[in-house]
Amino acid sequence: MKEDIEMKIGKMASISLGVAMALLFPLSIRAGEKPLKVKIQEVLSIGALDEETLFQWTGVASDIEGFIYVLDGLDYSLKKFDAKGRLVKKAGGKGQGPGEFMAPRLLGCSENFLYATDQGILGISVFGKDLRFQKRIPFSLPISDLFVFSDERIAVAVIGFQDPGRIVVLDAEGKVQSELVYQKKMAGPLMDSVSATLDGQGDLYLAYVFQDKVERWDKSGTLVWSKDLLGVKKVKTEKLSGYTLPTETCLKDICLDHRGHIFVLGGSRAKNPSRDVYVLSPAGGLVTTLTLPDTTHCIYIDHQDFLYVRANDGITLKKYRLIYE
Amino acid sequence: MNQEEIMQEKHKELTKAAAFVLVCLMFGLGVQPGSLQSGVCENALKECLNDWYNQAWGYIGTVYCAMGYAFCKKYVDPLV
Repeated sequence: MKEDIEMKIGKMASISLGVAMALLFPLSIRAGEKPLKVKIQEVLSIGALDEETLFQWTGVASDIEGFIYVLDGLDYSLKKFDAKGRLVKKAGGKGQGPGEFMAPRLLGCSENFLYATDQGILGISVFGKDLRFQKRIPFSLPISDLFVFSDERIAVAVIGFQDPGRIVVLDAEGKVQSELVYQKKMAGPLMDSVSATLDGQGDLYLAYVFQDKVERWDKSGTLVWSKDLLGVKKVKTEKLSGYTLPTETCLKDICLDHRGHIFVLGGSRAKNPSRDVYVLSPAGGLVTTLTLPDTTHCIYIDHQDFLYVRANDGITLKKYRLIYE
Repeated sequence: MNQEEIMQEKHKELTKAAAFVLVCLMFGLGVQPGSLQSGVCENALKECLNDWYNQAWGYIGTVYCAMGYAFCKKYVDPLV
C-alpha cells in the first residue's frame, strides 16, 4: 500500500516536472529550432539631417566589391557609394527618358548590372555598375517587388488589384520564363500585395503586406508552409472612392541571410511598427525577434550578411553587422 | 526648449515636409500644404483616383493610384 502511494507520488512528480518543463521551455526549442539571439552593430551610416547626401531613399542594393547603390526618390537619382560610405557617382534626373526617374522605387543587383523600377515608368531600367544606363527591360505591369538572380534572370512580384498576385521570372529581354500565381482567389484589391525573395535553391518566400502571412513555395510551385506572425485575423479596411482597401500593414519586407534565416519586417500591426524584424528558420519557426532603433520601410541583407535599413525617415541609410549568439 | 528639443522639432518638421512631398510626387499631385495629417495615404489615393488624368487612363490609372497607395502605406505610414 505504502509502495503504491510512493509510486503514485513518483508518477505525479514526473508528470508535473514534464508539464513544468514544457511550459518553461522556450517556444523555439519546442518547435525544434536552435535558440538564437540576433543583435545588430552599426558599421556605417550614410546621410544625415545636416547633409545633402540622401533625401528620401527608397531602394538599396550592394555588390560583391562592397559598393552600395541607392535610389533616392526626392532627387530622382541612383547613387553609388564605396564601402566607407563616400559618394562615388550619381546618375539619373527627373524625366521619362533613358536613365531618368519619375518615382524610383526598387533596386536589384546582379554580377554586372543594376536593375531599377519606377512607379511612373513601366519596365525595369538596367544600369552598369558605373551607373551608365544600358536599356529598359519591357514589362507592362506594375511591379511591387524585384529580385535579381543573375544577368539573365529577374523575378518580379506583380501587384494585385483586380487580378490575383503573381511572381513572374523574366529573362534579360523581358520574356517571361516562368510564372507563379500564389493566390488562386482574389482576397480583395491590394490584399495579395507581397514582398518576395528567393533562396539559392530557387525556393520563394513571400511576406504579405496587408495580410498576416509568410509563405514558402518550392521551385516547382508547391506551397511548403504558410505562417502568421502577428496574430492578426483581419486588417482594417476602408471604402475609398468605391474600392474597399486595407488601411493597415502587416508585413513590409522579407529577405534571407546566408544561414537560411528568413527576416521579415513587421508593419503597422507589429508591436513596434516598422521596427520589429521577425527571424524565422527555413522551416518557418520563429527563432527570435529583433527590434530596430528606427523605423524602416525595407530591409536588405547583402552577401556578407550585413543588414541595411532606413533611419531618419529616409535621410539616412544604416548598415549593421548581424551578430548571432 | 533646449537645443536638443529644437533639433528634434526641426527634424520632425523636415521629415513631415519631405514625406508630404514624397506622397505628392508618388501620386502625381500638386502640393497642398496642411494635409499631412492622419490618413495621408487615404487622402492622396482619393485625390489620385479623382484626378482627371488618371481617370482618363481607366484601369491603368486606377492601378497606378493603388500602387502609390501601397507604397505610401509602406514608406510614409510610420511617419504620421
